[in-house]
Amino acid sequence: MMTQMNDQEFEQFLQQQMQQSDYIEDDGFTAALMAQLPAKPRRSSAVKAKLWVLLTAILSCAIVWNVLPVQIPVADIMQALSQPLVNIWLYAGMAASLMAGSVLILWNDRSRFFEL
Amino acid sequence: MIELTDQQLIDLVLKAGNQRAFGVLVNRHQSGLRASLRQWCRNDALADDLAQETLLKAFRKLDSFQANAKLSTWLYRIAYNTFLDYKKIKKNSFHDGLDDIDNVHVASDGHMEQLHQARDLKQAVAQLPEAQRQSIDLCYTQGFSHSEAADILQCPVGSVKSHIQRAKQKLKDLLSVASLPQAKGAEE
Repeated sequence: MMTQMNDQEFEQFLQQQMQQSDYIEDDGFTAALMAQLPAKPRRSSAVKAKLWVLLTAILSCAIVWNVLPVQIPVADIMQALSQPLVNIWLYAGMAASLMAGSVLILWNDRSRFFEL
Repeated sequence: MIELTDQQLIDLVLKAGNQRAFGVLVNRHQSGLRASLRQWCRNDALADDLAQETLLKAFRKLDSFQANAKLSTWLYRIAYNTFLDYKKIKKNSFHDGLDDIDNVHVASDGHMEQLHQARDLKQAVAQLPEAQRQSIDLCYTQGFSHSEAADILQCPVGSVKSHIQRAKQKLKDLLSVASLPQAKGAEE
């Protein structure tokens, strides 16, 4: 009888009864929710877009190089670049840029590259 | 089969865009969430709708979830805010679902009338004022601590303790009346 329970007994009764609450079956709840989630973006479209940007950039540079009215002293530049000290800094800078660029691209598209 | 923790599943959703991992999270937490919302709304269909809305919000805001926090506390906080938002929108027409409970009477003067025929604790809990009902549900059914319940309900810990204390006294009164001989005799 409730009237005969002290506070401690009632506390135990309450805990026991409340924790025995029935489990609510999923019954399609999760499926209905998942159907409302936004669709995942197509994996290939972003990669293709980046490739097109890269190709366009290379073609643009090539066109500009061809139509430049000024004669670029390529030989002088190559001679300067062949100096040992210049070489080291140049190649180190190129390697660092490539690495940084790769990391940025991979980080930006990590969900596509590392999807399970 | 190794069961992934909530945090591992969240990482899969955020880092790999794996929506199936979110489905596992939903399946894991849907029962408790829906049960609590059913307690708060006292309307099963409404509660399930609010639960869906809660979980959609959680999906959209998953990147704001702090790794050292407890996912259930975060989810329930969203659920409570969703519940409050619904109440604000439907302020005039908010239905407490009292028709779902048998033999329920609410006195016109606003005081809670003792439920002579209540034997089920669940029915008695449904008679509690909202704040007490929510506190009892979070701490006794869902197993949250007082501080976690206070975080969910966005009120001081002292308020939660006070609500629980009063709720327990009211439940004792309700269930005591229900077990009196004259109450039983009236049903026969």
